[in-house]
Amino acid sequence: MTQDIGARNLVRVFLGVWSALGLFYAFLMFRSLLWSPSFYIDHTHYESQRPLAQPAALALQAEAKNKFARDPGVRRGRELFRREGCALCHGLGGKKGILSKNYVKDRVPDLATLAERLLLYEPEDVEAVLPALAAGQSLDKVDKLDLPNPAPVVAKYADARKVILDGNPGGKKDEKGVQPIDMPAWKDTLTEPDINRIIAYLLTLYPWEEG
Amino acid sequence: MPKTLAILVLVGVTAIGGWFVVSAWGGGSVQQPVAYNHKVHIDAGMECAACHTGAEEGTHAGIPTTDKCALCHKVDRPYPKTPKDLAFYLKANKEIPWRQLHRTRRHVYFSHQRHVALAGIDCEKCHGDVKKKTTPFDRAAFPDRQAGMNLCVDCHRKEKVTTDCMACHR
Repeated sequence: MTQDIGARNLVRVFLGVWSALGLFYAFLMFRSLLWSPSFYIDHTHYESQRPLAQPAALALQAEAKNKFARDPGVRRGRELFRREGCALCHGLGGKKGILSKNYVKDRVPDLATLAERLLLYEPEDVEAVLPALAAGQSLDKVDKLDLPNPAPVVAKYADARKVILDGNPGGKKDEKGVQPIDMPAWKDTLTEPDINRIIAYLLTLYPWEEG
Repeated sequence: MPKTLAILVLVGVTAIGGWFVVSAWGGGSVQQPVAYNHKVHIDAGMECAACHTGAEEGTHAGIPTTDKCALCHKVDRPYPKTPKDLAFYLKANKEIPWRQLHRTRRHVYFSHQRHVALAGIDCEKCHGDVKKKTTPFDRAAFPDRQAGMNLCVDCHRKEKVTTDCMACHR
């Protein structure tokens, strides 16, 4: 062993640094085992494996079966309905609104039955108004609608459009109670064509097969 | 001098090594800027994908922007109750700087759409019983605090879905 103090210290530094690096390397090895496939994967036979994507029966699949689902205008309406936050209160697919304290209807209105509220009682009635709405056109600007009695439908549509544009305060069950959640005004956020596309999307949600 | 140098080197290496160890194990919990209560919102009827809009149709589920909170929460109204921390961001019209905890590694491809929309897996399967959560996530909700491969492969094996490397490590 050398008597040179400086050299001994240098050896100590050298050994210290390499020991630390070695420990660090051991740590990395340990961490890599957490991600190593060898612990988790058997020698599976690929031909026995099913493909990754399964056509599961889910709400989205049910929506996809809707013949209007592929219309670009309807898809745009659906995207806006979700992205802008309408689904937060009215529910995904407009099926079930959230609870609103002291609200006359207890829950924020569901919108899947909007077609009925617009006096469109048959799928053919919805098909008569859908092309114009999906194209962003307002029904009151359409020359002729293929409906038995278009005037009340257009009036109901105008009411719905006004609620979306200007908002609507939530009706109180108890006048002395808290103010329920209001329908916000969207005129500064959504254009009228986009509102028409959202309405078009909502009209496609009516559960005709349930009667 | 060499002795001092040796000590300094050892302390430095220990500190760096210690930092790696702590970061590997997830460290401590993080504090979110707003005390978000999942339970209250879910009890009111809100659905996961209504806020996390990418959960059914995207790769990442996403975190909602502050304007979504502002649709219901008004600082001058008693209902719905607006906590002070949320009120601060609403008044300032600033985005809430959420600290994202659930993330996949860069070498992993995970599609929420495939798992939620196609496979029909409930959010709770990976993210835990969110319906009961009254405090915001302060750490990832995976069983071992990180989305380790064992979590994924176990389920893929049970469901007899591919365990091919390239399915997830593109």
